[in-house]
Amino acid sequence: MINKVKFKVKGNSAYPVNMLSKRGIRLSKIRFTDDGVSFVVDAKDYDNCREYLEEFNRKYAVLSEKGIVYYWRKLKKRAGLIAGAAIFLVVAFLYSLTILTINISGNSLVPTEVIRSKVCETVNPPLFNAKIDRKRLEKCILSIDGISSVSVEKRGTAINIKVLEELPILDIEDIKKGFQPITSKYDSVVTRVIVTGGTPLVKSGQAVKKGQQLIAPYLMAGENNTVMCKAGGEVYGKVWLTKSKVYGNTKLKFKRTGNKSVYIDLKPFNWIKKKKEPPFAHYQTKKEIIYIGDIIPLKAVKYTYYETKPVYVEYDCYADIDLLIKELSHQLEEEIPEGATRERKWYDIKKLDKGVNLVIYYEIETLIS
Amino acid sequence: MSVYNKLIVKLGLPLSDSVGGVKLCMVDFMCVLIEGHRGILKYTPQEITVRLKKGNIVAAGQGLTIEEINADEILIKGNIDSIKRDYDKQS
Repeated sequence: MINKVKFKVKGNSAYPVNMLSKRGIRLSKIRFTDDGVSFVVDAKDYDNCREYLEEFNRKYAVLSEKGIVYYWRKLKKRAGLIAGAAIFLVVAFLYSLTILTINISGNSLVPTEVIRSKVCETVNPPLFNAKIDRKRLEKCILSIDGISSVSVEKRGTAINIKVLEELPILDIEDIKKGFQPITSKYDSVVTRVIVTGGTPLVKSGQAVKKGQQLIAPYLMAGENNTVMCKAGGEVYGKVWLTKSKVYGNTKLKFKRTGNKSVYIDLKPFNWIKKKKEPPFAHYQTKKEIIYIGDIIPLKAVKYTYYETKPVYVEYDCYADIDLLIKELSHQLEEEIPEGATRERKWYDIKKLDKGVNLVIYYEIETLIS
Repeated sequence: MSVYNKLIVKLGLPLSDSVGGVKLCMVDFMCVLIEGHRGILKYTPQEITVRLKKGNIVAAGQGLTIEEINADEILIKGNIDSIKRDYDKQS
């Protein structure tokens, strides 16, 4: 930076400018204002400029001084600040040379303490101006069981160690143990055979019985040469489910005899008390809740027991046949395995001497293996 | 004009080889360098009058400032509309 001094001379005329320029002083940034003229000269012309201005009795003022020389003079007055800045820089430099911590990452199976203790055999912080032998440190860490690779890096005041652990030993399952064939769960007709291991013993359209082998746990390798393997796959087939029930001409009903018994159970504040049993062998119960009072939560439960007796009455199944079919179908639906496709449904009604035999049939396609 | 400068002009040599006298160099009507001046006579942001050995130069425009001046050269900056020679005897 070239040192410059800015002057301001009183008097709004060009005379000072002409006078100084004629005496070999280079003026720049000349600005004429109402009360004077300001200009900038080099620091080497400072003394001459002052001399000439004083010689010609011109009132002047130094507005500013710029440059390294003037800046240095200002700084000399702030020795404390400079000393503090210098000490800070020295301390920061010395701090950067120290090693204070060791950061270990990437380990999950090998404990951190094991790695740290191994590192501390070579580098034990805090250290000052220590030179780290990276290769020796890496070799030291690799000697730990379970670590396959390591990288050591010094960053700032820390040593960052990243380890890569060895893969855990896999537990290999020996599939030769327990070769079991795949057998059928139902009596069915095979529709689809999907084999993933072993030899299929059935084909599509073949009828199979429950427990029959579907896929064998071996493979044929030439004549009379079998290789054992795990049987796998899925076999689908059509299965017929049936449910039957005989409905008689009479039906048991309970008819009221006309006798009844009333029991009132008072339940203040919702206490639970043991209910009194009615004095009849067969009965129907009617329960009523009576609320007593609005302020106090008092309620009573009234039980009315009607005596009944079993009576056989004439029963016409055909009148309720739809209901009976629905009821029996619902019971059969609960036996259908999950994922099965319902193909067909039908029923058969056979008249007997003293009743009716209702049979419901379901044809489904399901996994039979 | 000095003999040397007359020779420069007659022979068609580059004008930058001339010595002494008054030289003007203007760039884009934004600044003009005048060599061979004898001082400033008048200064306003609209007009600057520079004294020469014989006559004056009047630079007219808007926002005119004297950027640098030394014994021989003066650099005027601003929006220059015109530069003319003034034969005023008082200068």
